[in-house]
Amino acid sequence: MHQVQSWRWLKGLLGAASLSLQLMGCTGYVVMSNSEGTGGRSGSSGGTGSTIGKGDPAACSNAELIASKRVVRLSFNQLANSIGTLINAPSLTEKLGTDNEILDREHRAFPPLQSPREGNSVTDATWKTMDTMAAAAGQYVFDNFATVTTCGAAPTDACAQQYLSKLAEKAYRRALTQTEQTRLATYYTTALKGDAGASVKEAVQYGVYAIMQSPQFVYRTEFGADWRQDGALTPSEMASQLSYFLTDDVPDQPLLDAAAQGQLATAADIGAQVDRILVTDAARKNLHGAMMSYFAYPQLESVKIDDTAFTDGVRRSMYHEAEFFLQNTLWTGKLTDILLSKKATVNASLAKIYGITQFPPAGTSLDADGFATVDLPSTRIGLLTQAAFLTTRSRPDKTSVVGRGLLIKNAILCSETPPPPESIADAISAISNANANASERELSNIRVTTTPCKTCHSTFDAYGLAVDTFDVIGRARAVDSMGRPIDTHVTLPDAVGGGTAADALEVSEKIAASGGFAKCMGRNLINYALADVSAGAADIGSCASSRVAATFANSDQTFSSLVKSVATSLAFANRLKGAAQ
Amino acid sequence: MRSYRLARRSFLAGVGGAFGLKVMLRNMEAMAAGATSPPRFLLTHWPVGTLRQRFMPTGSGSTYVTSPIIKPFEDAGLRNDMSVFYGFTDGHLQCPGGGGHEAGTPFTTTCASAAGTRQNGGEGDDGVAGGPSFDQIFLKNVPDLQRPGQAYANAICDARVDSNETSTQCLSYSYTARSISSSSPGGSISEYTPLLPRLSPVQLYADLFSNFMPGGNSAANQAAAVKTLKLRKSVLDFAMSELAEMKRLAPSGEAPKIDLHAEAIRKIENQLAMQIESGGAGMDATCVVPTKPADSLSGKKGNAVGYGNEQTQSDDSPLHDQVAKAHAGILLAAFQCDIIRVATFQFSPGTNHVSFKGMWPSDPSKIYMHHPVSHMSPFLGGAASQAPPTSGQAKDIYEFLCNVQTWYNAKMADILKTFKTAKDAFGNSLLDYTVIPYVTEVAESNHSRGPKPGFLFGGSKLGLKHGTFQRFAQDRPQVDLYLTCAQALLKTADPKTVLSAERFIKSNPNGAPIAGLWSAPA
Repeated sequence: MHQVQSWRWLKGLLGAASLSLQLMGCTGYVVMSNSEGTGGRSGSSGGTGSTIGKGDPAACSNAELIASKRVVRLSFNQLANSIGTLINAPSLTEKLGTDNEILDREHRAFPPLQSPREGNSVTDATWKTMDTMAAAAGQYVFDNFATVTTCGAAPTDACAQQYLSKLAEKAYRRALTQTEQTRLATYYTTALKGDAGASVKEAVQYGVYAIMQSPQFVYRTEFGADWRQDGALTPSEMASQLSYFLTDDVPDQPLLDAAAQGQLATAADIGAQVDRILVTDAARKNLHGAMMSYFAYPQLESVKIDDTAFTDGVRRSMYHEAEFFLQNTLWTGKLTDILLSKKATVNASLAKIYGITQFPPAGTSLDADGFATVDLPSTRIGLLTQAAFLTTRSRPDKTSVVGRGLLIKNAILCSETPPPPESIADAISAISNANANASERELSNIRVTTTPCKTCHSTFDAYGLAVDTFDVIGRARAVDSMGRPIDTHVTLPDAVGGGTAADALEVSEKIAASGGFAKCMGRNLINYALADVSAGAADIGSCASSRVAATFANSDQTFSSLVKSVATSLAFANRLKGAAQ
Repeated sequence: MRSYRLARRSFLAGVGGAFGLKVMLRNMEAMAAGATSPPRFLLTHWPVGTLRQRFMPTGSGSTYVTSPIIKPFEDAGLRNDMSVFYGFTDGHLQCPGGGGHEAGTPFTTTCASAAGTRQNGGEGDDGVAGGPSFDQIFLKNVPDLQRPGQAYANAICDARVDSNETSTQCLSYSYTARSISSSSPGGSISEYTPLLPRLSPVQLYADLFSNFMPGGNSAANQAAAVKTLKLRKSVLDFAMSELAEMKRLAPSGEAPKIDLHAEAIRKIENQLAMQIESGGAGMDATCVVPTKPADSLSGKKGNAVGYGNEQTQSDDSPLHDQVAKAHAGILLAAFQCDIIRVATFQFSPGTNHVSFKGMWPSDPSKIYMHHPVSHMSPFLGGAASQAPPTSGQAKDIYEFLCNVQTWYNAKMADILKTFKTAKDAFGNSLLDYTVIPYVTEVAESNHSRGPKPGFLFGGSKLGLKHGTFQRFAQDRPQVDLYLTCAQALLKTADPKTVLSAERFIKSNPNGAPIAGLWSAPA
């Protein structure tokens, strides 16, 4: 989850307590900051603003569209994957990743272009990386000429040009125009063979380099039939977008054929392709990696925990458990299993953390790494009580109701809370000092009853209190560090229906039942699919998110159905008219 | 480090004829016309401010007595090549939600208020830049700093941050603004695009020297170099023609994005064209192309914490030193070869997670991380500005922080010494023609914006006067240091007139060069 805030800056002032105040508007919902109307935009979050278009699908009309017609840069992962696929060299993809320090799918930003090292435009630095990859592609073809091009040991110009032409078509993800064909042919004969005096092999090398450098390869276009009008992407643009959303790679031949035959025009057409592609290894690995990134599991690699039980072995075990967890919940069962699953795949050290006394359970056997699937203890359920999830955002030596509350509000419900202004730091410090020995419950009671603290803390403290019965690495505990019993009864925020909950189990069940989690995941997938959200992203209150949530609610409610709901949405297939300069 | 030397004499002998003569003649004609060494600008940074009382020299002016923290520069014989300052501030600049280091770093190099913080999935305090940084400002406004190709380079020796921040690991920001999602104040804001540095020396090397063909100056090698350059340029020409077509078809609002892409290509195209014209040789006949660094040599990166857990198991300082030397050596060679005349060099982010052994007085065997230690009580609250503690953990913390800053200054002194002894194509000391501000992003570990220390090295042949320490009676905006640099680079006593349209002017209406540090060279 990439919108979680912890207030590290308060640490030196607060000491043992974690207390925060929030002066700005904090409704628990992210409200759109732009005015809304027919053909309007679903803008990104603001603290206050119009409540028009709060999300009722029936009221939204054309307001579901988010992005305008534009060009979208392929991410470095997408470029590396595409190059490897186009040249039929998976090893090249891996080499490009290593040589250019490209983060793997689990470590990349969510969505990837949000990373400052990527960005949505080609700057000097991003161009250099792209150029290096394109040059490496050309070099690979030169070094493996016979097998890659099938032009043999004594290649002819005709064979070479045919290879380049076909490669360009696949790389551009559509048929070449006559002008493009001529330009490519002229480039080969005049610039490469003529002016530079290249041999056939060298001309192919640099032809490949040029194709992989071409803007037609490194960008996806989203122009539609006429960029001056709101409207649908062209079939080839839809094929590109769909493929990069699902697999992070170029469209495969069936998808290209469907585009060429006009069979990507309807939601049913697109849904059929989604169904086909989602069972492939490439799609599952890509989306699994994206969700690992979203839930920030890679932070396990660097989190510092001041507990001797948190060994490197336990760290790695937690990560592996998280991999299994998402593998199981994304591709089997319902989306809400992420919150409600009573199963986990653990090893002996994790079983100890979970308080499971018999491991492996009777009748089960361990896999090669010592993992087996177990039933979780009655006090645990899904993500909120998972050791890895809790540990990624733990402080070294103590839990934090505020930190965990924010984590859950952000990651599970897509609701942001801005950090408190520094102007109230002294006030925070004073309250903290006056309550230095207070329990987490007592501190939370102060926060949720004191103005202005309560405006925001009432929207997330409850989540942190509910999971306070798990320590820094997720072990269950009945008392805190000073021996005081931990009370997990909470009053829930209105965002999840209000009311009370006895513990983390009931909190998870209520969050799942509220539909907030599904809506949040849908919104995240919309933004992931759009790739470039610098000009505006889907927010949780938007029409696009509501529409996807409504479609999803009428499905079998699996993760695959959520992906399909996004891919068949208006926001995915259509764009607002392009911006004029 | 073994290197491929393209010495003037052997270069001419190997290639012969009109080709080599052309390169030689260009330099001779320039010297005959009274041309001197070109100016250069190197923006450098150290993390986490200082410890006031241990930093402050005794006295002021040219008779100051150096302090323990500044002593490495003195020991390196650099007193007359440096000016020392105390009293800069960024406190007048705004960045809603920005953290001490996270807003401080862009403030320090751009001197401009910013719109807010980046939404990066982290802590929400990752300040954006409100304007271009001074390396880019000078690159744009000082024609003598411009070179074909990208014309600048940025290097960092360790890139570990707290939580996904960009701000703390970047000194350089371009003129291109772009819209991003913000954490504070929320919604979309505009930021000036960060020009992220290279962490890996081998990547920095590839950026700067990939168009050179080491291996000797035979005619065959030169011919191969020209052919490769032509082939490479043809790729870029092809990309440019495709970009022009894309621009024709795209929404006109996308033109800036496409133009940015074209500009990135154009810089390299121009560089290649010049090299083709020069017959594929290096930019200068005395250019020393360094040996490529080891692929595995690189600083560390990623998120790291350590607050509340400052001690660690391994000492990062040897690797840190190695990477710093490698980066500095490559930048020095690039300056000598006249590939670039502008660069930035950063040891580490202000939230510095580099660990040091042997710096903890009560137990030198212990290894601690720099910035996490600076957060240990009472230093986050302001102890760094007070008298050095004499006992207990407070003393250990204080001395550790002093020792680390002294270590950084010693490494910087080593780098400056190499600049001092290195000669450019005109036989002049590189340091004498290179303006090198050395700045930090916070005053002290309590994240205060001032009063900050600062240094200015080099550029003596550009008119800069050194050998003094100035403690300002009232805090001066950080920009005043850069305006002093601007005097030397723009060769004017009034650089603000030349730079009047720049963003920093609005945030610093009263900024002015520091008096007495520059006069027009004879």
